[in-house]
Amino acid sequence: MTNILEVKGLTTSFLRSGNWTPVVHGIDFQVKRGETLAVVGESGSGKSVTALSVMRLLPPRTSRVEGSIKLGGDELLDRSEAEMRGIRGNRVAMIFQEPMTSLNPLMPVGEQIREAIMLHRNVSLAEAKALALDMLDKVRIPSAAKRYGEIPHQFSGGMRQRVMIAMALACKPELIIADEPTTALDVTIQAQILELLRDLREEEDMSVLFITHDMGVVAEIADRVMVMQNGSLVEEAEVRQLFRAPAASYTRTLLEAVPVVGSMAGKDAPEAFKASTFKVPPSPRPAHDAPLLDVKGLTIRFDVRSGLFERVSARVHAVENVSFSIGRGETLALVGESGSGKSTIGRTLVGLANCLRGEIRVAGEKEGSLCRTIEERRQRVQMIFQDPYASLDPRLRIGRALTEPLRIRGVSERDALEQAAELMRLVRLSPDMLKRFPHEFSGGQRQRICIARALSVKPALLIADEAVSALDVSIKAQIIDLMLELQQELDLSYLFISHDMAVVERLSHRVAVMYLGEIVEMGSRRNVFENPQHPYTRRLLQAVPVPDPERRMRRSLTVDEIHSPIRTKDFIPPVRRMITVSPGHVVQQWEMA
Amino acid sequence: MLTQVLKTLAHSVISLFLLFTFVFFMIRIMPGDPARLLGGAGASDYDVQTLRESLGLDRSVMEQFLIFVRNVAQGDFGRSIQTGQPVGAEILTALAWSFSLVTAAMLLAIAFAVPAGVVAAVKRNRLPDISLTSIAVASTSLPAFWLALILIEVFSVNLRLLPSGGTGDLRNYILPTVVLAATQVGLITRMTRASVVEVLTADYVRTARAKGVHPYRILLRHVLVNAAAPTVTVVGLQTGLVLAGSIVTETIFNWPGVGRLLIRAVQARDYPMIQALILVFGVAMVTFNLLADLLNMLIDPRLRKK
Repeated sequence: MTNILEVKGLTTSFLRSGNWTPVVHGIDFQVKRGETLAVVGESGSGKSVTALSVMRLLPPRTSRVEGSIKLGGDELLDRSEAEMRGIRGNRVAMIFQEPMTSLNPLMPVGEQIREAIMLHRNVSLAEAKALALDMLDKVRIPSAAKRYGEIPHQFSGGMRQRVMIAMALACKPELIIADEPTTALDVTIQAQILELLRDLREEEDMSVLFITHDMGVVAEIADRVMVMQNGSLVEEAEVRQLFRAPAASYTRTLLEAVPVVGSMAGKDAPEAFKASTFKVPPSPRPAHDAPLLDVKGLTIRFDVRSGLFERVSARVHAVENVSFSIGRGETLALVGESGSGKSTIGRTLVGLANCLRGEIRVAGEKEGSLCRTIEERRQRVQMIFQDPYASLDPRLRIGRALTEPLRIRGVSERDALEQAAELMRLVRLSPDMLKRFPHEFSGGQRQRICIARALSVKPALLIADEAVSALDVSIKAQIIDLMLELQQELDLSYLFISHDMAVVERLSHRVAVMYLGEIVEMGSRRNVFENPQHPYTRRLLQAVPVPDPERRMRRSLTVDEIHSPIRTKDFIPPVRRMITVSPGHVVQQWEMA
Repeated sequence: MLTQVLKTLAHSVISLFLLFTFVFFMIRIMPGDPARLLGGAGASDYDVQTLRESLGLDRSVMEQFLIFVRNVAQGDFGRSIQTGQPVGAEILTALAWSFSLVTAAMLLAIAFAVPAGVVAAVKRNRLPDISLTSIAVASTSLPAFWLALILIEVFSVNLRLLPSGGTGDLRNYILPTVVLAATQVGLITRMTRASVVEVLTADYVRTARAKGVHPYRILLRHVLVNAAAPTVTVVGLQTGLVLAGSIVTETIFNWPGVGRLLIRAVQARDYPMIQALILVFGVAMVTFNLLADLLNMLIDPRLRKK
């Protein structure tokens, strides 16, 4: 097979405070015709910089690309900027990570594809339009002709990514560079996009440079894999070879840190990644103990107002008649995709959102509250959020951030600082760091600080809203282990809100699957994962990419959208019946399609 | 979209009423008696009292207010205390003069500031940016009266190229237009620069570059439209403000606009004229802001609610 892309000794440096600092250190690789080469690595590994170097899209003033990049035999580094413009979008095209921001919000999607065609093909306006329309059809956008003139705002994330792919494919490039194209998407949508990419690769005989951090995605789509770390090539191998017998120790660490759906089959208890260090007991408490948190019939709706007098025109049925409980020392995972209402439940439990109906009761409270948050509960229920970068006040020293919850509760400055030092040790950070600002910490360290801050008021229940989703795999594993250890030490309960089925499988005792504001299935983790009943649970589990190229499977290609929980004003939610599958495992009765 | 406009209008009517009420009572707290000023130094107390009664100023303030609100609702703003003419007609003439001057000034300001802002953004932190931004800010920082006097000194007195004031022909527009435009250039340049800088780093601009689009085309088709909103808003806001606030420029250049009219009315405690002018200024503010909002909705369909 011929090489479409041949990269030799690629070194990319950035100008940082007057010095040229290399971030990619002389790497070699090739992409053969019709092949998909996956580039994997954690943040800062230089994988995106490599892609932008090939495209020559880095700012010329502050970056320098050296070595050799040959596309179909032509040296790209010798090309002038004007010549590169003729190559970009024509012979090599790129798909970016963020479908929500990567399309011009004010230009109709069809026009954005047409623009690419007219730049590189000598066709008339009408012909270009027809070609653009063909492309929309090709990426399976339903009623493409009608949607040609719509702006990106009217498309969902998955549909926007289809538009991006159509745009990249429009001029039939020799090479497609896809930079984390599915990372921002929900798992069922990710499965659709991966499927589409695989189909198109066969139809169009594309060569793909696929950048990702997700080993599951690699296993699904790659022919060959190159692993990068700190700007260097660690290992390059055929995909099966890499997963079966990784040569480099870094690859092994990376693969070990990947949570795999199904890897916990047959086990009852959550398990730490460093399983040797400590064991988690299967069931923390006998079932007849009073639960720590009891939620009954929780219903949360938001009004959509419009018109001159702001009359309610529709309602978002964010959470509909949801009941669950969490025992002491237990982890309940709330899984679901965007718009399923899982985060809204978390926010309501700490009083950040109001509910319409329902009862929330935390053990020890004299009476349960009907949709009101009492101050006492704020102390017993704490929350950690997804983005450790945005969750800490950048101008507040860590010491101040950690002691704030204590100080507002009347703890003296000295006692609070002492406790803060203790908290730092608890999350395995040095108390010496208390004087530092958030920007001096890495993402993983910041998430530890967020956990410490939540623990400062000695809560019984921690709500973790996608708390590890933004972290690199190895860091993710460390934080999960920390959470499991803390659970043991402090007898904590967790409400773990996540879309990541593999992580959920690792650390939860019980799982509740949410779809459009309702719990469709709930039971012990083992039952839900090993014996899923509801079609949605099955679809969700099936959509998760398995980090094992031997188990690669084709899924039926659908263009389902995630439905919206926005209903008309007079919508009356149907009465649901829960069926008991086995003790503790319930599923919502569904209609056969 | 229509409901949005109606909603804005409804809000505007409320704020205009509050503004007007406030002004009505404030000018009556102001020291000075219009009747005594109108009567002149030689008027007897009796004459002044007769004048006061004929103007309706002997009634209680509350009563005056209610009468005025009723008249305004019927489109009657009263007669000027100074001239006895209906204030509406006088204001309309002055407004036409002011409006033409402000339009010319804003167009001139935009013609300089928008390209300057775009160039500054593209070449940010380099020489073109530093020089253009400095010129823009410097011109705004010059006091209008000082700039006006310098320009008159140079172009009218020394070079004898342009008239120093009044309203003869188009040449009379040049100096006041330049002075007014100068006051606006800094803000519009900064605004344009800031929003273009932001859009230039947007993901979709990178997408356009990855498609192989020429930088000029990226600027025209992808950047400018997306960066327009803040500049449009500021221009709308400033047009309203300049219309009401060109008092110094109009006075220096002897321009028969609303600014000069206001100064005279205040000096004579001409209550009906002041009240009507304030109301006009309020309406102007609301109108230009509304126009800016509408223009933004036209550019960006996302702002139109269904």
